[in-house]
Amino acid sequence: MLCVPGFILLVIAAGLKKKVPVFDSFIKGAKGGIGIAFKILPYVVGMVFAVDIFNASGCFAYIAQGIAALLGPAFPPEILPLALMRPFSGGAAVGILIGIFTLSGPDSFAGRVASTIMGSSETLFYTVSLYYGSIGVKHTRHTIPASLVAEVTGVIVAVAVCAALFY
Amino acid sequence: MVYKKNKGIRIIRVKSMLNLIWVTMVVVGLLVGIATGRHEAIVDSVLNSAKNSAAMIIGLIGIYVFWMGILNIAKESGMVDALAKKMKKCLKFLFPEVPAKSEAAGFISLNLVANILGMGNAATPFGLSAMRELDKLNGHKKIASNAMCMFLVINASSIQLLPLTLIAFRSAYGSANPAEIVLPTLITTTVNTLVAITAAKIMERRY
Repeated sequence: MLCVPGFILLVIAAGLKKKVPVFDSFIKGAKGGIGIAFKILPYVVGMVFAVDIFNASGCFAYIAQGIAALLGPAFPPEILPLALMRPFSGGAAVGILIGIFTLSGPDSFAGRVASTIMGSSETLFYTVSLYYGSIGVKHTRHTIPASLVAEVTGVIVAVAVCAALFY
Repeated sequence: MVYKKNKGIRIIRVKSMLNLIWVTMVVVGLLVGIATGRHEAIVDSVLNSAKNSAAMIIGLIGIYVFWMGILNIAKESGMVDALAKKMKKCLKFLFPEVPAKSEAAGFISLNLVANILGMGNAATPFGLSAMRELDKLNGHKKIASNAMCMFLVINASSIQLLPLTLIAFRSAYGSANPAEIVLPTLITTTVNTLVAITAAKIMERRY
């Protein structure tokens, strides 16, 4: 947590050392930030909307049930909604995590696996939409497939590592 | 969908995967929601989601403005170039098409370091600057370059080492040992990033 204030001090110190007009430099860069924020706004709105609809319709829950049926008892079923939502929405994933903590407790197998998944992953679709949207690139090639492979691997590894370390 | 014949091998390419995913989620979501009678939830989503995400953006604007300011100080005082120099070997392996002394290399380095240190709020504006530079290097084409894909894939797999907010969360919900998940998380995040990098390196030839 001290990283952030430490980093800021470091940057300002570096600027002072090089006799950079620090505040002017800050303003110059900051102005760019406004443009970026507005450029990505449509992508955020669009993506959040799609995820919201898909979630509200119950689709995520159905898919989770289907996969749970396929996977069998070794896999704690509560974490499936989390694993499914995580690439789509950080907020929804946190909500599911809290649900698991409340129901089974953070130190249950499900709680530990869920924590591990949350700590080792990112909101894939949001990030892709944001980053590519900000530069207007439409053909994302292997970005999503490669990332999905990694996400699925991550979930499996999380279950395996927690099982190995705690039981 | 674009259907191409490439050297006698038929490859079907989805021109914009994001487009396909977005349309699918909205259409399937709406249809299933209506079919299963979740009318209220659907209408609520449609009306409120846009409003809520706009509210979220206001917070983001402040964060981006701030960090882009700090980034510019770092840039003008040579910090970014110095960092890129230290990460030269790493960058050469991951992003062979990005020149070592370019602005892109600098911003990529800063984004990766910020992510590792768990400074997510700073990492994103740095990452967006990196994308802008990569776009310049790519000649503003509408197709993602190998470097862009690799950069995104690494970011999306999460390289954060210490999940501090998660530990705080666990503690708040009564965990007897909140930090016990640090090791599993470290292992998992390392493995999934390695898999992501490998997958990207393999797939960049075929896609």
